[in-house]
Amino acid sequence: MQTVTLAQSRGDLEHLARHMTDLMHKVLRPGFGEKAADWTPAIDVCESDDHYEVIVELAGVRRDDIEVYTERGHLVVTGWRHDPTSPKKVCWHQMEIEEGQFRRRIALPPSVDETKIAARFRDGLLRIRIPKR
Amino acid sequence: MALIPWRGRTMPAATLSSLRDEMNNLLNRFWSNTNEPFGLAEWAPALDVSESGDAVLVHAEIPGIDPKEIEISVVGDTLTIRGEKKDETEQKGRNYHRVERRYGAFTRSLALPASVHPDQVTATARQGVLEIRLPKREEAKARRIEIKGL
Repeated sequence: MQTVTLAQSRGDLEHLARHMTDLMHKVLRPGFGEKAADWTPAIDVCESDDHYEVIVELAGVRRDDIEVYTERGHLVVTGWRHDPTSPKKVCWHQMEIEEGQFRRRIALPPSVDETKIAARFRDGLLRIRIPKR
Repeated sequence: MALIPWRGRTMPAATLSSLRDEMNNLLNRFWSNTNEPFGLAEWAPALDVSESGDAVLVHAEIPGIDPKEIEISVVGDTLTIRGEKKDETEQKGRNYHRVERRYGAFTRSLALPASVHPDQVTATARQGVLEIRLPKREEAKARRIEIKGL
């Protein structure tokens, strides 16, 4: 059996305690477990008399790859953009269209009716209509 | 005066060539938007340029733009795309809280990586992405060479 002095084992315990604290901080941090997004689409938010509209630029994203939901007073738009180019390409020359996971989260004003939010997607633009109460 | 390390006889040449690179970079940046010399363009669409065995493919991000209003031209080895993203923010009765999208007219030109047939260029738009297909000329196509063995 290996003999360990008291001083050494106390050092190890302190080390372990520090690690546990770090780990707890990481887990309890808001957003833990969410993968960081690969890119961030541009959005406009505008207000009319009876509704708000959120417009998200999602060129080249398939409709089935977009998810819109509300969560604790926030509107979340998330999804995935696949490489829009041909799989038969032999080489790249320029790569500016970002691909991968995207995610936007915006706070909703308190005066909206979350149950009546509607979204439509056309020509790469996602328009989310949020009626006021 | 600052001390300059002695790097033998290569020193002045190396310094000059790095200065030349700096100047080239500066000029390239300055003239990069050739049709809008002084950076007047508000925005330009992001482009992917790739190449398959028989064509050069250009993809442009044009969300919300009617593809019919986009003008594509090929002159020599230069492709030019022009269009306009209509500014919605000017509409009456709408109060904007956040404007991240860019609006206005754009022009983008690029040197094609291979010589193409300008009369066989086709373009299709899907979900806000414009795909321009430029078939390569015969001499620019990849040719597979068979390896003969015994």
